[in-house]
Amino acid sequence: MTSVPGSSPRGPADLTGASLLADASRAAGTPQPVITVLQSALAAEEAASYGYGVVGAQLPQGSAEQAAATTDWVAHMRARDRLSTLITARGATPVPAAVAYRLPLPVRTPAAARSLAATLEDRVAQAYLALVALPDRSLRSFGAKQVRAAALRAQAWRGSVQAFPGLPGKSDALGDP
Amino acid sequence: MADDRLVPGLAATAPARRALLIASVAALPAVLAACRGVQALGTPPPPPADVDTLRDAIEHETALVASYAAAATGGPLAPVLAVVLADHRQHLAQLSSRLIEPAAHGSTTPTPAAGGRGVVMTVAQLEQAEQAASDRLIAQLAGLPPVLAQLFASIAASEATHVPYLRAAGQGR
Repeated sequence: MTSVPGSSPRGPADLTGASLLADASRAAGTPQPVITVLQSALAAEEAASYGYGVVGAQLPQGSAEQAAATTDWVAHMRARDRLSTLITARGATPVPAAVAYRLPLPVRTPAAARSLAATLEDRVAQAYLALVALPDRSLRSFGAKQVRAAALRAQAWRGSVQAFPGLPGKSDALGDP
Repeated sequence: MADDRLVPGLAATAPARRALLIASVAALPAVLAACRGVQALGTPPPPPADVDTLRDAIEHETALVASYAAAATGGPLAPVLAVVLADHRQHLAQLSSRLIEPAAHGSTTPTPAAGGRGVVMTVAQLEQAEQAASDRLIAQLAGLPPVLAQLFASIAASEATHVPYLRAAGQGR
């Protein structure tokens, strides 16, 4: 089952939650209400927070990579809190995270874990790029800095660079375990 | 990268944007002439701020392309520099595609083919230039049309990732 972030709360029985691939792909582009864009970014952060738990579990115990996964997970938790604050300040209620999420690829090896981390960051970057389209200067700047932060994390996991992080169609190569 | 891949649903708006830029730069002198006579053509109004911002970004991107083209001619880091150069060429192509100017002004607009000879930089200087370029693009977002702001933000992110990419390559040699 695929739910649309920002449209309805996710129940605890939803074992698949929002599709990681579907969540952010709709974020960039057509003008959307501020709350919708913020909720989409929040959904991407929630998915990333969940996904990094999977990433960390597949990386060697005590390794530098696992420590990096923890650091990135914390960054996403903080961003999630920031987005929740922004949503609440505008009189809306942050949509809670799903209980679980359907992963875009099987994650049974460290290589797959790295691919998942990079995929998560690509989706987060896409979601934040929608904030950049908003007229609000502070949200636009916040979104751009978050796109950059996600791109930097993706680069660290992937080991390569992208010409246009966050723009649709740029993460299709991910998922190779 | 094609325009319509940038942001879904925005392909239809891009020509309108270009039309606006063309109108803002090219048509205003004619409008003034109609209103105030031929003498008014002597001092055309300045272009909108976002046109200047885009021109500035194109000029900086052109300089980066030239710098990488000069640096990527040899040495152990040449393959890495070539990868980054390819990114910058894509950035420049996308930025340049957003600006259409009248022929009289077009000769001053940098193009990917007219990058010129760049200043040869060390890898550390390239890293600094990348970070500065990223920061500058983000600082220029306010007031830009949404699609252009998204392009600036994406390019800013890409250029920021070049810093650790270059650093890692340098340390691995």
